[in-house]
Amino acid sequence: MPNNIYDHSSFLKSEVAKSLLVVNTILVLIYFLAIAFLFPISNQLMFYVLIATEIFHVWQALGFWYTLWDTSYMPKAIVRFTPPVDVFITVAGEPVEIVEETARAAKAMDYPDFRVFLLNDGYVTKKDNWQEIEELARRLKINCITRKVAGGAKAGNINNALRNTRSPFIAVFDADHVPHPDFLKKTVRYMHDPEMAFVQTPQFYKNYQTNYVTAGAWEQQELFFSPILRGKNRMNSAFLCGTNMVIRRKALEQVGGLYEDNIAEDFLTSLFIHQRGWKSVYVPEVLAEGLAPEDLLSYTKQQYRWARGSLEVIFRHNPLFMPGLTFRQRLQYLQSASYYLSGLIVLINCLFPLVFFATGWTPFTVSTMVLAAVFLPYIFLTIYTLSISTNLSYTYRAVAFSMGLFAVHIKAMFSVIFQVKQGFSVTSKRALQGNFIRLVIPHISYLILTVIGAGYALIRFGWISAVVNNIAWALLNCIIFSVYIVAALPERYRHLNTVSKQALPQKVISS
Amino acid sequence: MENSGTFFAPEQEQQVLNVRTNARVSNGWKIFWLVIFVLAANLLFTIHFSLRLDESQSLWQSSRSVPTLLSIVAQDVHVPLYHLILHFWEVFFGNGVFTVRLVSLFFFAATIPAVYMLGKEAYGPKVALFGAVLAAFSPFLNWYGVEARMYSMLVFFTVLNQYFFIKLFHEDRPGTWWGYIISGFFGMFTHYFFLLALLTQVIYFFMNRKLFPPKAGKRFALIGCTLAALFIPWLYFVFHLGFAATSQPLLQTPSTFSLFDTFIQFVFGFQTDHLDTVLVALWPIAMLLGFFALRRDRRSGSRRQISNYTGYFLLSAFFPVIIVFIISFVKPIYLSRYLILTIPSLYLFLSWLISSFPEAFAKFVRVALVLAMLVTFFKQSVSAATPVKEDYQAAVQYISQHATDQDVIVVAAPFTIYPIEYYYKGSSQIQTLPIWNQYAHGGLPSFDPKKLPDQVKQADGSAEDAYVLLSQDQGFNEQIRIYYETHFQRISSEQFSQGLNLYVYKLRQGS
Repeated sequence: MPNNIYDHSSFLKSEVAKSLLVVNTILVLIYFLAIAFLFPISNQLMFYVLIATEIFHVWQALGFWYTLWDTSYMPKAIVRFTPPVDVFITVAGEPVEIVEETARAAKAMDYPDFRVFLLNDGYVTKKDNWQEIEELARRLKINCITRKVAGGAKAGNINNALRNTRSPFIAVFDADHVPHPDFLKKTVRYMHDPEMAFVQTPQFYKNYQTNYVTAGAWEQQELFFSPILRGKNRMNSAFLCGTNMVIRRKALEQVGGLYEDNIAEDFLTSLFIHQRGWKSVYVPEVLAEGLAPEDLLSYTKQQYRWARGSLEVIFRHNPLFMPGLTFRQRLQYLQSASYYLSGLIVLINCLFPLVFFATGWTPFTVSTMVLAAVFLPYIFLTIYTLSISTNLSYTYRAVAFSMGLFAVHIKAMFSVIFQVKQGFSVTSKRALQGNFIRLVIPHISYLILTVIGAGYALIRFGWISAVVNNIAWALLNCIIFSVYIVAALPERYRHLNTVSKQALPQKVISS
Repeated sequence: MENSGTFFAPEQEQQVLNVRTNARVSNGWKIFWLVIFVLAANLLFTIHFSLRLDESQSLWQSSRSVPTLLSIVAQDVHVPLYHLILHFWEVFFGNGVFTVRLVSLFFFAATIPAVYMLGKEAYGPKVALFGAVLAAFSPFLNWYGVEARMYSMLVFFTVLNQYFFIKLFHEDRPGTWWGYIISGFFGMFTHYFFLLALLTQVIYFFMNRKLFPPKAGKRFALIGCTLAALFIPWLYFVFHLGFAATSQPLLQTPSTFSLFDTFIQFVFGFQTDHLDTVLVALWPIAMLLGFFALRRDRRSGSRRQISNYTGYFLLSAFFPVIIVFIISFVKPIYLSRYLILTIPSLYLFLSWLISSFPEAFAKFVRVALVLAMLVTFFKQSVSAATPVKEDYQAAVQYISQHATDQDVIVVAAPFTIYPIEYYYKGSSQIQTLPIWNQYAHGGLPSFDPKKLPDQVKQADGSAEDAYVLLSQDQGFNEQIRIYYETHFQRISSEQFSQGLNLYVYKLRQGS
């Protein structure tokens, strides 16, 4: 493979110098203390709202730096440990050809003792191709468990399979996540430790270069599946991510199977397992490859599900109050779950310039240069550290997608607070056609309000530094949102350029 | 056996060679035309502007004998190389404003290909070329490129020294080491702030020792000792004379605005306070630069690397500015022109950063930046409101037309006598307030309001009218003006450039 082709494991090869993390911590604290205590307050309401958002940022930043402190820890593995494994492939209406690829790869895994099961939920979810899945299983000579009684969505499907199988370990793959031949060898080896409950591996998207959405979806994942999960290893707080995982049957049965009352069943089940004192490990190696959502609607549905599930943990199963967890595990679970509160924080921060345009109110009275002097070093170093922590894989588009999801996260938050009923929906494995502009109405509205507000402020206050500075902030938000708006456009506008073979030098092989 | 490197097929190799040769030739011509632009723009236009205060000091100092020159420069807290060159230049070519400025213009013109060479060594021709373009069109560099001071020489030797330094990242040739030593020697004797460039290199070396050839540490130590040994006699000479006797204006403690304004000046030159404030207030947009750097190369899909060169240019662009800023809270030494040596690093860093953007956007940014620089260069040159403009020529022309041998010319601050004496060929006496003999040993007299009436009486003597020229306010010009306003009748007043005002007072009634 030519050297300049993207190496899909490169994001896993990173170490961040501890000195960098220390400096980051100092800078973020200086910034926070300066704005909280040194700057004269102007509008009290805005000030305290700003402080609340900054507390959230500081919490996320410090938690992230602490997670990154040591990402090298791995428990001992015994290669010769090869117990029987039941391999579950969860299916709920995915195209047969996608399932077939996964099933064939599962069958071909290089491991001495395992059985492959298609967990066919097509019947209970009323998908047309449920019988084709059964036919596929017959053709490939693998097992198929077609559920006839609905309930619990994917978690229920897996729990049903648990009752009908017996191996001490299970491996779970989504229908589109194709395992590598060495998947079981490289994961089960950690289960020699009788206290090890589960092993999680990255959820890599092999179609990340298909279009704008797949690229953004993957680039967002890189931060989580590299430094964050690797850092969780040393705190025994790596959690299940729904696919590409191996679980000890006994640990799962001890907590009553996968939790069926939460759409992020994996996250909550991990919490229950950790409560019982079990261990977990994240193996930072791409051992299976799946499909990213290829359109913005599928992507936002997936993100909504994750946000909703995680936020339910905060509001209904708060790890701070759950017995059996270590202090670090509590913080790690809270850290991960609270990330989805960032939508509200993003919205508040974006509204500040608009409020200024309309009213002239600011949270504090300080020279914009003084603010820049405490803010810029912190933000540039943060961006640099984020980049280094994923071996320069984390991108501007990932940042833009994260911020652009603010509306989805807020919707999820209110759904949890008001206990809106939510069914489980499978992420589409094929791109849905059309444009999804309706999904970015909040972002477009922001652009329009910025233009109107900036014009009004310039007329009312003139070209003073406060107006220009707030315009700059609003413009920054608009530029970032524009990346997300592009993702909502019809397919023909979202294609990435594929790798140009002509740009690559020919490799000469000499004997 | 497969080769470990990447080679081209034979028929492609000649093609690649041809492309590279054509590109080299083409870039050579582009650099040539940039140099022509620099020479033309300045020879036809800016070199004819009025002599500035500092230039008049250079002329006055360099017109002395070499021993006297050395003594005066030492007391003036400068190093003597530029003054020595100017001294001998004047011997051969005279001391006209046009002629003496040619020395600086020569070094500025030579800096353009030097910046290209530096950039090419680090990044390749494309980034290097744009860095050279920025240098050629830079309002700031052009302003000091025709000032009869050492600044363009400082930039030139800094660039050369940086070139040899970065060559040491990957080669260990004697020629490179000698180039480094010689450029370091000349840089050291051009301006004290060159030591900041060396300090930056020391820091960079300790952070990245593995980059350098083996024994580089010992060699750098030896070079450091050699340069120190060559420099110490000068320092001894300076201390021996007592360098409190300076005739430099008092500097103020910088603010955070000064810090950010420095970088605005480095890109857009000297603009009005209002425009500077507006530009500085746009700092949130600078965060986009950081975000945009988090991009993946769309063509190859590979991660965009932050090279060692980028790290070095980043450090050398910002570290000297920040360190001088901090020191200035104890001893004010902060002047943007002293930090001119950081500009090439800044431009190369910007050029690299822009090259990391999507191609179409990068083109847009390049064009926009160059256009902005050209517009601000033009504005800086033609606008009377340009803060650094000092139109002593126009002021003296006015005085020459109106003052008689019965009148007296009174200048404050005292050191502004230099440009006045350079231009004024009339018969009126010239006095300073406070009274100062620039030929006597010692520094500037301090201002004592209690002694002002006597000093005014002494300065005015028996003159009919006083032409009071106030500029370079050291904190007492307004007191002088008020004294004259309250004791004499004002006949007229004129402003020739920002901060350069002439007030004409009738000293004797009934004449």
